[in-house]
Amino acid sequence: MAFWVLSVLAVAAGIAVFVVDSMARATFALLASLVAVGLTFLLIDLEYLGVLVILMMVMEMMVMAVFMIMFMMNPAGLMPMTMVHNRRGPRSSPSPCSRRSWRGSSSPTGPPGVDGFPRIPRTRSGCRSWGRKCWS
Amino acid sequence: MWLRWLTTSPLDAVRDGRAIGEPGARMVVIIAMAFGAAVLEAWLRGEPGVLRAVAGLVVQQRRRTLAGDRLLTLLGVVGVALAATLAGAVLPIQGPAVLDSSVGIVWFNAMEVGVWVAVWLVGWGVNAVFPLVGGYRFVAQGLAYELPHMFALITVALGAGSLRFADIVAAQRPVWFVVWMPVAFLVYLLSALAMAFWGPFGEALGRDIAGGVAGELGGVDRLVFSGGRYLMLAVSAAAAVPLFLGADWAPAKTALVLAGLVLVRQLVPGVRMDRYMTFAWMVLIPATLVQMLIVGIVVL
Repeated sequence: MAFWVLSVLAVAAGIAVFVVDSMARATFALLASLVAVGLTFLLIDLEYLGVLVILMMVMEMMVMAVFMIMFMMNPAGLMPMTMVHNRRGPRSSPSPCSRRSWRGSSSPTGPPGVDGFPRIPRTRSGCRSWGRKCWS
Repeated sequence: MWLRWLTTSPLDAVRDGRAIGEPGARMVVIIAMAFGAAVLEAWLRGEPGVLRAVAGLVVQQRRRTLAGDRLLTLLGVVGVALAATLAGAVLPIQGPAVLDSSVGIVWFNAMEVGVWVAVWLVGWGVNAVFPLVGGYRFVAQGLAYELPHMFALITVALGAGSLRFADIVAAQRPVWFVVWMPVAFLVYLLSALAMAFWGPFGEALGRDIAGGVAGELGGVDRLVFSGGRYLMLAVSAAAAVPLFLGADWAPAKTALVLAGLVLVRQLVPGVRMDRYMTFAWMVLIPATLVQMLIVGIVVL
C-alpha cells in the first residue's frame, strides 16, 4: 500500500516538473519525486540508501537553485518559465495571444528583442509575464 | 521497521504495555527548550515578553506580496519547523528516541538540510528582492558549513562504530567524545549555529537586507517561521549532547549548550559567507580530516 502511494506520488510529481510554469516549482516537484523514490527504499529496509538518497537529492536541488539563477535568461529567474522549450515552434498550436496585436504593433508575436528573439519569454498559458494576464 | 513505526498507533503501545507517548514527551522537552531560548533571547535584548510578541503576531494580518508564489512560501514557512521536528525525532534525550533509526546520524543530517530548502523557498516565494538575496545567502552558507559538519558527524560515527544515536551514547560511557574529538565538537557547534541561521550565521535574515528572508513575512507566517528557527536551534543543541557530551543529565546539558548558542548571538557579529566559505574549506575541512584520522587510529 505504502509502495503504491509513494510510486504514484513519484510519477505524479515527475509529470508536474513539465507542467508547472515556474522553475522553482519544477525544481521542488522533482525533489518531491526523488524523495518519494528514497522513501520506497525504506520500505525494503534499505535504510542507509533511502536516507542517503533523500539527503543527496535535497542538497542537489539546492545546488541546482544556485545554477538556476546563474543561467536563467531573465533577471533572478523570477518570471514564469517552463522546462519545455520551443512552444511556439512549427508543431505547437498558436498561442491565444498571438493573433492579437502587441501594444499596437503589427507583429503577431511581439516586437523582436536582441537577435530576433522575443524580448519577453512567453509561457504555456499565453503571454502571462510580469504578473499580467495578457498583453493587448 | 519504518513501516511499523508509521503504522503503529498509540493503542498498540498501550496493548504492548509500553508507556504511551513517552518518547513523544522528549519532543515536548525540545519544544519547551526552544521556548526557553526565545525567553532568554528576549531578556538579553531587553524586549517585552515572548508571549506578548506571539500574541502580537497572531492578531497581525499576513503580509501578501505582488505575484508571490503562495504555495512555495507556505511550504517554506512550515518547512523549518517540520525539518527541525523530523531531525529531532531520532535524538535520544534521557531514553530512547521517538524514531530509533539504525542510520540516525544520516537521518538527522538529511532532515537538517531540509532547512536549506525551507529558507530558500521563503526567500524565493515572496517575490521580493531582499528575501531572495537572503535565500541565496543561506544556500551559500549551507555549502560552506555542510562539509565540515558532515566530517564532524562521520568522526563521531567512526568513534562509536555505529550510525545509531543509541549506540553512540552507549559508546561514551567511560569517556565523552568531546574529550578526544574536541575539533569535531567545535565544528559541530559552528554548524549548529549555521543550521539554525543564528547569531553570526544569521545574515540570511540580516538587518542590512531589511530582514532578508523573513522581511516580507507577517502575522502567523512570521510566527511559524521564527518558531521553527528556535526549534531548529534547540534541536541542534539537543543533538550535541548524544553526539559529544555523554549520556546522563541530557536535558540539563542541552539547556546549557542552548543557552551558550543564544549568548553567542549577543557576543559575535555576523560573518560574511564568502569569507566563511574560505575559512571552512581551507581550515575546517583539513582540521576535521586530521581529527578523523586520529579517531580512526585510536579505533584501530
